[in-house]
Amino acid sequence: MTDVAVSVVVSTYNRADRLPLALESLIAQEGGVPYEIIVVDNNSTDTTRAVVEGLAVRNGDNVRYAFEPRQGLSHARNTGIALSRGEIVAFTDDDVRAAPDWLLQLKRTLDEHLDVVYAGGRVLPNWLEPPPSWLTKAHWGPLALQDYGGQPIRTGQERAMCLVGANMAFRREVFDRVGNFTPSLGRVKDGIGSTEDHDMQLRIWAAGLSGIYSPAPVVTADVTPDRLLKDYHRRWHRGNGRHCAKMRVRELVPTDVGPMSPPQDIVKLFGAPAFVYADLVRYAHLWVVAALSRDDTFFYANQLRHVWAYIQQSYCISPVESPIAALGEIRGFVTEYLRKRRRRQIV
Amino acid sequence: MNSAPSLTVLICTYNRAGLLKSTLAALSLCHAPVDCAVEIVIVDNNSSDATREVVATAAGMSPWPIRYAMESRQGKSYALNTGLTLASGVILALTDDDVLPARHWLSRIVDQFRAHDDIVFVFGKVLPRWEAPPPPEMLTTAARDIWGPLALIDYGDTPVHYDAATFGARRLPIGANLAIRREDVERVGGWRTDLGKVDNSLIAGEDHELCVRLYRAGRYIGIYDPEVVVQHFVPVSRLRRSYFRRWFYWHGRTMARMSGAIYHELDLENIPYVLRVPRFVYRELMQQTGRWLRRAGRSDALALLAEEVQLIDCLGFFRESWFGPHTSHGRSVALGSEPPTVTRVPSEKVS
Repeated sequence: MTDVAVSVVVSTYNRADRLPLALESLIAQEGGVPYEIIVVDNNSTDTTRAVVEGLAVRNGDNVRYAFEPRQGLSHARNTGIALSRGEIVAFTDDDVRAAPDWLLQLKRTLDEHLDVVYAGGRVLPNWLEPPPSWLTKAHWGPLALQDYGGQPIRTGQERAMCLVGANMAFRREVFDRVGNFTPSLGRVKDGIGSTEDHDMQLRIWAAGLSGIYSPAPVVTADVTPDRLLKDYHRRWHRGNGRHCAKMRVRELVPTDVGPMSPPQDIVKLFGAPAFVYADLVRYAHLWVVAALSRDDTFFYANQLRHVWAYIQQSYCISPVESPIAALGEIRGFVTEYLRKRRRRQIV
Repeated sequence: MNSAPSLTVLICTYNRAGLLKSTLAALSLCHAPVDCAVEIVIVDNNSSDATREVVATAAGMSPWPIRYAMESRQGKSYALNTGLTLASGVILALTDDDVLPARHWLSRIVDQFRAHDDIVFVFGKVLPRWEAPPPPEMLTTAARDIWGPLALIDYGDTPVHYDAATFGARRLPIGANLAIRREDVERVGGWRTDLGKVDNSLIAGEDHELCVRLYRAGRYIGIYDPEVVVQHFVPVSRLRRSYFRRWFYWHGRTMARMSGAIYHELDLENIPYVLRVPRFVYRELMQQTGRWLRRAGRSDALALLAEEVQLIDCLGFFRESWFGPHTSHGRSVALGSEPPTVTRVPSEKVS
């Protein structure tokens, strides 16, 4: 079976109960694309192995089982990449159901857009419990859901829009060009807010390559009741803010989904760029406005959490030893900031 | 060609930095042909946009060396000829700045040249990459007859051998997806600089006319390979009627300019000329006017447009014959009477 066009890599951790649903939807893919499924068991302690092997026996070569003892989604995915044979490597999660034409549409998207190296699609919710009224689309980030509408959108240096990893396919040579997933940024066990997908895409964009969102490939992800709790969302934004700080996202992409800019001439305070503090003020303002107009304060509270976690993590990376050093840092920041403003006025 | 061949991808570009960026990205994703040296030559035909920066960035991520040259004389043929002097590959793979080559484009071309010692050119499909979904009537069979303006090619899924016997069949290659032996292009003298797109005119025909000279040199031997695929960008503006009219008008003018070349096989010496235009073109004009008038009464807008643009084509022919730069007798623009000037331009290696 060397004529595999697409390899689907599913990483799983202790979800033997829900995994069969995901795998059955993958086994039932239509459209004649030759594909293989690689299930990477990331050190599960439940019956995952038996479940996968049970399905593998019934479906021949199509399903393969691999075990990755190093804990972490990035390790598991990298193992999947190493085992894969297709020219396209698609990723999805262990709690989704793929539409019957999912792979066909992903492949078609890449075939039609010869200049992009990855493609992503919609991740729609399957609410296991009715969602609370506050949970609008603006709060989909923590649920790893994705729907950017019915038109394809290009992502790249001009528009650094990060696509979610539950529905994504890469051309295989991407990994030779920019490397595999980074374990230090990845999800470990049930940890949340991880950014391995984001990190991979940042590297792709930095290499001058681009991707595309297409509405056509669709997967449906289970949204479990625990993800409907506000506390989950709070924790996710804190975790994601910290991970983003580790990747120095804001230095590379100053505004959300905006263009990438070369990280130069950025004035920093305690390791975080000045405009991140400006965001803190902006979101605080928006939060007050929302509170006064009885609007969605939770959204802005989460943005504040995210920015604050970013600053915290930035500080952890380059901490200040003493209060006097902190004063010196602030003084340096002010002088630097004024100097930059003056220079901008001259220009 | 059993030894390892070498290949030069030649792209001429004019103020299309955005599209060129995608072309180079797609090219960098092409499968590398096994033991074949590949190089990319970009001839910038006096662009005023960010073309140079785009090429410099692409050179950083390209698996193959990219060479950049500026050709200040405006015109596609000038740019092509400059590219010809810079190219070092045995095979010259031509494509455009608004084209995305498919993954197997390069390797497939090289495979064909390896498998067939005698061929001079290989070409394949040029499929549309619509900027916006086209109006459905554009996809009908009737509309395909007037697809010329979109520069698309789909001659079916079976490979076709080309030689002198099939020359009259008219299903010619176009420069958006044509690989050709460099030696042969050089031997016939490169591209004719009075043809080929200049700035905003839609004068074309440089590919067509080159084929005529290859045919004359006994080197019209090639393969249409349906697996050699590129996608051609079709902007919304090209789907407007006004573009179609404009294109056919320039097509008529191109034909008039080329008449010395293309009608040669029709035993040109014996074709009677009336007022510098071959007599049969008058007949065509009258017949076409008749067809157009007959259509005008009916409601089929597309069919009417098809007749209209062919009439415009005829009128363009007259316009060029009477007022064009080659106002001398059509016969005097004989083949090779004006060999293209091929001068060497200093190029700079970007990477």
